[in-house]
Amino acid sequence: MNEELSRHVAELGESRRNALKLMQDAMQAEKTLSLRTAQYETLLNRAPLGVYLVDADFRLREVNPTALTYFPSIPGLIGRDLDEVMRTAWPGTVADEILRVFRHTLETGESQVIPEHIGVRLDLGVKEYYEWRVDRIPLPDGRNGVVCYFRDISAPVLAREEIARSAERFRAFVTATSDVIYRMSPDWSEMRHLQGQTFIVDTKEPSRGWLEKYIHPEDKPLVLSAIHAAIQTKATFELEHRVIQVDGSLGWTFSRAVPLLDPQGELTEWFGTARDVTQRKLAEEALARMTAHSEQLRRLYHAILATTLDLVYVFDLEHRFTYANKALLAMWGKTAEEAIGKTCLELGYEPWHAAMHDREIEQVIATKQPVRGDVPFTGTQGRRIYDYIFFPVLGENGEVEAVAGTTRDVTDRRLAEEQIRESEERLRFMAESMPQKIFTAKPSGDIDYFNRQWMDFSGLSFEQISEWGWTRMVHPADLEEHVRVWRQSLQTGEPFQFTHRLRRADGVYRWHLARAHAMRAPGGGIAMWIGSNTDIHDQKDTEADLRRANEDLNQFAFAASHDLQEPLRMITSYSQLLIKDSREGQLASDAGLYTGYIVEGTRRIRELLADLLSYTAAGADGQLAPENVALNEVFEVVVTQNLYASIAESGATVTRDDLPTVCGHTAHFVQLLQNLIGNALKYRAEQAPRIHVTAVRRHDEWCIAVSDNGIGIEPEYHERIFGVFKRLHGRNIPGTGIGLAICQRVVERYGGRIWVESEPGRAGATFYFTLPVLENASNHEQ
Amino acid sequence: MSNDPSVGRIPRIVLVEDNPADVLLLEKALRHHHIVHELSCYEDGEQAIAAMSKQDFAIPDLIILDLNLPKQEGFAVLRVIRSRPALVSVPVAILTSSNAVRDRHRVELQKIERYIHKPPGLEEFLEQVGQAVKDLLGGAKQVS
Repeated sequence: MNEELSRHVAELGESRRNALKLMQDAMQAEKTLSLRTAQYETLLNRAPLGVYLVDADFRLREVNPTALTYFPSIPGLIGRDLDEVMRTAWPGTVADEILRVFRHTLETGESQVIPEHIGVRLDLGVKEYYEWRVDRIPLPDGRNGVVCYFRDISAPVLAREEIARSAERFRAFVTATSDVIYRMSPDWSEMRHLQGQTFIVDTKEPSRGWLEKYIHPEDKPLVLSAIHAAIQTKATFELEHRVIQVDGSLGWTFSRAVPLLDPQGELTEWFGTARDVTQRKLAEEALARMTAHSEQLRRLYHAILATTLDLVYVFDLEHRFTYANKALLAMWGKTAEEAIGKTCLELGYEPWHAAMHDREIEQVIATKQPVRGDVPFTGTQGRRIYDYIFFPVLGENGEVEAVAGTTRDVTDRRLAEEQIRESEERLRFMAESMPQKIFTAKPSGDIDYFNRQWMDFSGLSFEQISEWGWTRMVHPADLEEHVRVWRQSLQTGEPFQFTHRLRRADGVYRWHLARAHAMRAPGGGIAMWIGSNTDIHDQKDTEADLRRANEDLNQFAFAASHDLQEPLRMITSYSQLLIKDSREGQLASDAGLYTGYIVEGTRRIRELLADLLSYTAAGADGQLAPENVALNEVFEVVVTQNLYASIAESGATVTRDDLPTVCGHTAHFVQLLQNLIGNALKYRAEQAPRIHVTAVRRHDEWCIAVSDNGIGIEPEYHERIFGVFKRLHGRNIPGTGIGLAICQRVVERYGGRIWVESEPGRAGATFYFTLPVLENASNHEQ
Repeated sequence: MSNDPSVGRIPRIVLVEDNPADVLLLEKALRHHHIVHELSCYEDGEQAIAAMSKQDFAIPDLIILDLNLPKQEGFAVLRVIRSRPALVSVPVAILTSSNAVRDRHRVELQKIERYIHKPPGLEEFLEQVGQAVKDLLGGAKQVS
């Protein structure tokens, strides 16, 4: 039995050297000493193990002193039931398991080792760790019992668990931290390990190339210097520097390493962490840049505000100036120290003025909308007009935190504007009050202003005649040329001038002189056209009359000085000759000749005077109203009455086509036809005169022709013959030289023309004259 | 002087004048000044021009020209006179009732020797016109 026990003990001793050795020794001693009870008990009692023994009924038989200490709460332990004791110490399940082990060993003889038994002691309230074994041993009563050896291993187990937990925590920390973790050799020459955390590249094997691998070249001296210092002092290494990130770009890290020392105080290792501070660093840099930028902006604004002529300022919500730029201070004549923190009133503004600004500041604060106004103020520059605007300065929360303002001296501009306005009003008034029709046009020619005279004259509205609407007023016959000339001026910028007829409201066209000048812009381009239309209808009539009257006067003067003097001279000279000869007694022979010249002179003077009278009459308007005159009837009077004798004498044939009825005075047309037919009779050729009068309508005028077969007129005289006293022929053909002048006067009086056509070297001449066609009449065609 | 072919010859005067009354007055004026002369008269410019254009036109000692002539005016006659080399040295007098500035000016341009305005009274006519002709004839002699 001992052998078996020994064998069991020996087997058990292999697994738990410490405890089992002792047990083996004990067994060995028991075996060798063989029932040496004293020794046995000594061994049992002194053993550092707890030992107790139960019999086959699981009653405690032996408990050594060590074991006793584990059951302090159970008095009278010997003889007690194991089950009862266990249930006192342990929870039910633990007690059941313990008893099961005991029972198994008792029944089978199989030794059992429980290397680690954990349980919370019910009686002690603490968690304890035990290792124990049970063996079946024979008891003196012949039955078997079970001996149990146990040892409290709580302390080492707990220590181990603590270490394990600590390691676990460390692992958790290492795993959980986003920081880089590294270990360095004592002199930092070698990196033992580095966990890069996706920030920088890992180093899993000891390496000496870490400096190149991780550190930004520029930061190497800094890093080395910090390392040197840390090694010297064995103090914590701490540095922020640049590193090469996983992707090769530069990053920033905050690195810190603590020295690990051996018991002798020598460095064994450096353990460090490095935090990725790239984002923070970038943010700091961005912030620094922003700060620099805002600083620059501040300087810029300061420069602008200090140099601008505008007044710039800021009020706080209590209406005190918190800022005033240089210009404003100069206008006040105050320094910033004197002005800042003061209200308008405190700065000497008149009370009404300060109150107005107070209201406006409040309005800006309330509405968050700008306020603008202008106000006179007397500052260091004297009394000036200022245009100002207050506007809200909004804080981050959208509330007004201040009211800023700018003010500009607009005195000069206001004065200029006022002058311009006055000048414009003056011009407009002038334009409206002038009798002329005034207009202005855009460079394009679109009319944008007509004075009232236009509307009064035309009876049209401004809208009807503006832009190019005025063309409806222009006489159709003048329009095309007018527009052409106007467009030409628009293109060249040359002054425009044109005489045209404009239709009055009653439909009557009146002659106007239109003029326009381009007003140049400062750049030289055309800014606008300014033009006028002057009614020259009356002048035009008067002018024509005046011109005619003036010519008449000249003609009369000429007649008086020459043609009338000529016969007068004859009369005078031959009368004196008669007297002279009679004195000298020579009268008889030449008296007849002399008196002949005298009579001839008087006849000629009479003739001239009569013709001049006719001529004057031809030009005079007379008091009689014009009437319709049938030229057919005029022809009859001339041929059958006035020239009857001459026609009969010369054997002439005078014929006519149908002649029209025209408007005028009969006497004028009698003179006209009589002179022309008379001329034809007078300047006859050898053969009997043949004279024919015809009329042809051309547009709105009649062209009447008096043709003859007489001697004709050389071309160089075709114009001259119409002048007063221009005669081509000598005294063999009678005449005063006024006849054709009278004809011209009559024709021109009625707005017509007169001319002669005569082919050189051929007999015959045709005198033509034109007369206007009667309105609403086409009698010739009827 | 004595070998001068013109000496003793009767001065030949050409008169272009359409008014016979004035022709007679001129003759009276010449007689008044005892100017012995031979007078050729033309009634109008055309006649005068026709005559002067002829090759056998006798070169006169003086041409007296009225301006206001029928058919061809006096200036037309003057143009012909100026265009004939034979007549270049013949003095020309304008005898006119025109006192118009324009006519006087035109005459000045033509380098006319004398512009004689027909005086309105008989005595003046006889005195002034006769004296003018006398001067012109005398001058012509001196020139030749």
